[in-house]
Amino acid sequence: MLRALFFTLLTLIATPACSECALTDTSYANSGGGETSTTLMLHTNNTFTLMHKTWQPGHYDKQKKSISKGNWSCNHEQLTLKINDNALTAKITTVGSNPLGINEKAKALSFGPNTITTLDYLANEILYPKSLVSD
Amino acid sequence: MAKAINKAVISNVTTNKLYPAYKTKKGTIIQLNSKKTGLPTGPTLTALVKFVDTSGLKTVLVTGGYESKGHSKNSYHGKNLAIDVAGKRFNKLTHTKVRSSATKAGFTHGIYENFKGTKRDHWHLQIGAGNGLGAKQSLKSYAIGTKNY
Repeated sequence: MLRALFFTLLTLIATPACSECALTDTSYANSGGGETSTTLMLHTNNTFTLMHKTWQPGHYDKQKKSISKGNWSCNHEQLTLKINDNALTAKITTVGSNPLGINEKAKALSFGPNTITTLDYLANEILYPKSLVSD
Repeated sequence: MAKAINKAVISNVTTNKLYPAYKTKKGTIIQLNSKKTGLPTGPTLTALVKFVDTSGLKTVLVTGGYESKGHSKNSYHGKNLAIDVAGKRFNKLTHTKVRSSATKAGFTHGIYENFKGTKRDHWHLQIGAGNGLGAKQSLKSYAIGTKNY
């Protein structure tokens, strides 16, 4: 009995919180094809760096860049980004059949229509594992 | 982007809600790359439909439209006057064909942004000069220029 209890406790202790998280990558980006670029880096210390670039058509070299930093957490299929007192969530979703040639089984971050003012560019955005959209 | 669509012009044929798709009366599919990409409205939607219908493609991947957020200040996307058409990797089009179809459709200015070695290439087409596009990007006067990065 004690032995069973010991192993049960050991299993629970050894299961890190991240095992409940469906994230597959630490670096995400939008698919592109326009005059904007968004990348999200999820750092191991649960901080994130979000970079958003915009430019006029034909003037990528004169891009404007904004960088936001905060904390992230993950629970099953939900990623939460927190900046100051504001929180924003994304659903970690399997992309399925898509017109971009991305593996259907890939898991992307799908943001909803409602976002926080400073990150309004994330409204309805989909961020893919960067390795899948960077080539 | 959840907007009422003009059913007299297009019908919703979306199969994956992450990637809205619309069919023109002539049967061409306007495939959006994301739910973030907003379908244009009014004259720009009419121009988009004319563009895809004369492109010679069955499906045209559109990567930018009427988006009020996320673009540069004064962007023609935010004014509902521009579209982005995915590059040659996705849409088997030539500059000549794009220029011809775009001009007939009512777009007046355009440029091809070529991000070498990536999937980010696209044609930007807009109605009217401005926000970085001037006389040299006039579709009526010049072939479509490519900006390489």
